[in-house]
Amino acid sequence: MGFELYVFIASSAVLLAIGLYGLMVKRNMVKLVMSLEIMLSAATLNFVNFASHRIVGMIDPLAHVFAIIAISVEACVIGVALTFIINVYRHYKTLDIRKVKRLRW
Amino acid sequence: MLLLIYPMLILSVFGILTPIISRLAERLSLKNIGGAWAFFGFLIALIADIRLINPLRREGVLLFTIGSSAKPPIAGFLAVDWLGYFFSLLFITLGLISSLYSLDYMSHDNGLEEYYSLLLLMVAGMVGLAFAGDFITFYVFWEIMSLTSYCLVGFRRHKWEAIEAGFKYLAMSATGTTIVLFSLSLIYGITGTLSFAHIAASLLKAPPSPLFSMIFILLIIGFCVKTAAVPFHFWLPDAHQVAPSSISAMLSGVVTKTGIYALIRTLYLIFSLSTVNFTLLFAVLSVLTMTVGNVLALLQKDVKRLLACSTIGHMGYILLALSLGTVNGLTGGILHVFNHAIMKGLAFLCIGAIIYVTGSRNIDDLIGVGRRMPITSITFAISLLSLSGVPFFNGFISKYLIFTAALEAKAYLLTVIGLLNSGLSVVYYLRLIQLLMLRKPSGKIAKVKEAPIFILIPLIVMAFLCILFGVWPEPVYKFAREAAIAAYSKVQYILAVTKV
Repeated sequence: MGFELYVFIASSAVLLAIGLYGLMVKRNMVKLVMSLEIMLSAATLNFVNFASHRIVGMIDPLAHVFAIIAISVEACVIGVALTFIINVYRHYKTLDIRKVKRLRW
Repeated sequence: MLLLIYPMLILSVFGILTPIISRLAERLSLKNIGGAWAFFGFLIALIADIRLINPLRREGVLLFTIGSSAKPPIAGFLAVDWLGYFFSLLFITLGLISSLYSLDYMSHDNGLEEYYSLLLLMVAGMVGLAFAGDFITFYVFWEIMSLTSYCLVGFRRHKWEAIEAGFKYLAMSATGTTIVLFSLSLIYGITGTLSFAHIAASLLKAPPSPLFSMIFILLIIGFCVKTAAVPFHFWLPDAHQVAPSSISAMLSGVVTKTGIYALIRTLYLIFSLSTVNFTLLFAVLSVLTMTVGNVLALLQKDVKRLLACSTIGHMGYILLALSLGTVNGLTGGILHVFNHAIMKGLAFLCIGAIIYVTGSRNIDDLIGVGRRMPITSITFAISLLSLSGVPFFNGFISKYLIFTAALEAKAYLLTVIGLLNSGLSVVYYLRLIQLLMLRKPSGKIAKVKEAPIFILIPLIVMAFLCILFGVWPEPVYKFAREAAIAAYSKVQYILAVTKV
């Protein structure tokens, strides 16, 4: 286990924190979806990092496969999220998440 | 074991072909072909699923790998034990009932070909995640289920409420899934594998450490979003309120149960009480979930929202059962999963029938509607009595099992809180019966007629099941017991998978 392993773990933790921060603070729905993407990339980075650095001199294809699958699956989620956002704009004429709360309790 | 992939394969193929078949039928001006096709698909998938029972009885754990040279630690594979099988049977059964119900209920909506396609694919995803043997397969099927359920919640996209609830559900659920994915990456970093059995084997003798606790908490957060345990429950009332009633029944009956399935796997297979002590955490979680769910339900004016909040309450009972860490508790929990799916599904379908006829969801507008719709009101009363835990209905059996298991495990405070909550929930169920069925109808309500036949058949079937499993719970109890033992005996599972 080398130095790079810890650098990448630290950066993925930072990415996760940025994503969570964005989800909690941002008002724009597109930015929420972007925060989700950032959190996903934290997980993907972790997978690729562990696959390459966990055992020195060996690269595990399993985790790379999972990273690619996760990226493509998450792309579908983003697609659905964007269709929802378009429909929200049609109904509410805004993308501010704080205005989209007519359903209470 | 090629038999294993048939249920999923059938559901996916039917799901993909549904739009084509519907379009062709439209050209020939035939109605409801899509629905009949979906019903047929569910029926065949159910038969394919039932055929697994004999091999499962022989071997205990069934394995499926792609190609004979691929061995479990490398490849994505399927591994079915009694627990996964129990859940898969439940998922397909409820899908079958829901598709039959949709034949009449959804007939006024457009875009039905997508609707049935999504319904079939959602059940395919759920069956797949119940059959999964490793986290890659699990994650992919989990996302298939999640994606289709987002689309189904937002299905009536011309209504603002569907869009709002759908986005809320998507944002929370996708965040939960991403957190699960992150913790999976950490698990991979520690153990170097993603198959359930191999992770469990390498964590078998692991001493408690803060890293495990962190991974555990992340996994629990992710799965609790789907389960709607209380700090993460905000999406559930909205989504259940605005989705078509057949989908509300599916969401409440089975989609939340996938979270329970994942939690059982996490708690009893991957981790164990010696690695991470989850008793206190889950006790607190279950008390919060029960109390908040039941109190919220007391305040509701909207019938579907009331039932959705009571779903949160029932999730609390199941979490209570999981927190005990005993086989008896687990049996009660798994049996409650089954019973709750049937009775809450029935309740949502009945409400759907009432909404179909009257067009309103508000309790004040629906006073006395039961007198005009005798069959719907009797089945609705059965489901509500069952939910409140009256003896001779199935809800009583599983609640009784959960609370006796809690007493056995010496969780007295938890039992008392659970029983108080159960008493509290009776208040709103009985209020619903009193307002909807015993009062005299007036105004517009006095003129409504009984719902059409395809709506009534599922109601009668499910009401019959409620009573049947209330007076004769033995077969399903044995089945749940088998599933609980399978979930509890992790060494057998590990050996069965790793010996290949």
